[in-house]
Amino acid sequence: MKKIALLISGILIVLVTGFVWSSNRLSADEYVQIELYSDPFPMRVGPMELIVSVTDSRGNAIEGADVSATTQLVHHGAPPITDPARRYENDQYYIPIIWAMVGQAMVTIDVELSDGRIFSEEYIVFVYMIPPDIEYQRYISEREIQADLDDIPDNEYWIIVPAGAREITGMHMIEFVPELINLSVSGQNTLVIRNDDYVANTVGPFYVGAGETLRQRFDAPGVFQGTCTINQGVIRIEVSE
Amino acid sequence: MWRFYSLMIGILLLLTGCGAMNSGNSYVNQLSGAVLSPPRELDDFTLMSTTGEEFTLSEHQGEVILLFFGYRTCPDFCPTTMAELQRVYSDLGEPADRVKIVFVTVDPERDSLENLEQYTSIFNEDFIGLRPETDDVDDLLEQFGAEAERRFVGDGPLAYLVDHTATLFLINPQGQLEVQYLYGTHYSNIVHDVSLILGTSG
Repeated sequence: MKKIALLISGILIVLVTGFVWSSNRLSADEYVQIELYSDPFPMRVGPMELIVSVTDSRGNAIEGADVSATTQLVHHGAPPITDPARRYENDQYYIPIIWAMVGQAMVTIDVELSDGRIFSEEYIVFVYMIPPDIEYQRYISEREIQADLDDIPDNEYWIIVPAGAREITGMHMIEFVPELINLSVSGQNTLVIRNDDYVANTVGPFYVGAGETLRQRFDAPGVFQGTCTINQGVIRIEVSE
Repeated sequence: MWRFYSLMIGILLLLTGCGAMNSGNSYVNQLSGAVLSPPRELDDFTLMSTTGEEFTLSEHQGEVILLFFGYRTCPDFCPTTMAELQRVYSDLGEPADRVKIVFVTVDPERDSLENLEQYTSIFNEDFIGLRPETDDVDDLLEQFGAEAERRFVGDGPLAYLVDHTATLFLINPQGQLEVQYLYGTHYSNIVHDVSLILGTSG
């Protein structure tokens, strides 16, 4: 009986230690978390405020940092503009900016802590003239998107539809979705469509709502096609053996 | 001493339970259809059905609903899909008691409940036909991401066809849209998924 008690105790110690370790482990990237919001949301032409939350790995707000935003419209050849945070309220930094035009834009948030360390986070956003009616949410950083892409298994083919994609392709010839997607049952057999846009999009035969991810594994060869709300054309998916 | 063991086992179960919760629905990675993550919350709806009673989505929690939009005079996608659904239904065996096969007409002007009932019962008497009012069709289609559009081809009662989405939609026991099947999906894949979802949901 003592052996059983010892065994159970041993398993418990291992599990609890592992659980506590996984909850608290740190990495350089996790030391400071930067999150970006905006008022109004999503971004639109005219004056507005970027709202930046800076927290440590335990989620505690970091006060007294120098926070600034560098903004630049991507497709207009406009120069980058850097604006500092003007106030700190409710554990958040507020940076007033002005968007002059509609379009895709790069926002870089720089945070310099009081000990001199500097952290940065980049975001690709879309600036609307008339934004869709959507729930307030934080922006997804380029680092987060890249981290997701780095973790893709070999058998998966991913399409990430960025925020504002449907508007962007109406203005610029940007191909977010290829017209032909080649997959194979024995290799890359799973199509994943993550729609980060604020509106639903149809990609070939699939309708993916705002914020949804659709995952289709193909177990047999075939050809599937349908229109695309982003490319304004036809998307063809060819699945070979 | 047994109190000590019970406490230990309780903590163990709690810890393993936490792990299971973090992984989400256990069946998701095994499904054959196109899986939505997160599953889409659907607005509740009530439609007149061929059973003679109203069909309200929220009253079917705990069941799997396979829903297809079509119309009675459709020459191709509808009869072939309904025939596949009959194979799904008969292959499921006992779990079919917890499955509803629902055919929603996108052509309520020509499809009365009476002739919808005749149509669905050709394939299986348990299949349910639903008839929205003409003004409600678009709203219903929209939340599924489906479309339907008339295409005029001549004169007379069969003057038009309706081009419509041929995707089959699976609503999970929580009432959420979770899986979609492209037209032509083999019925055995659908049987596999439904069995998996019902088996997992207990």
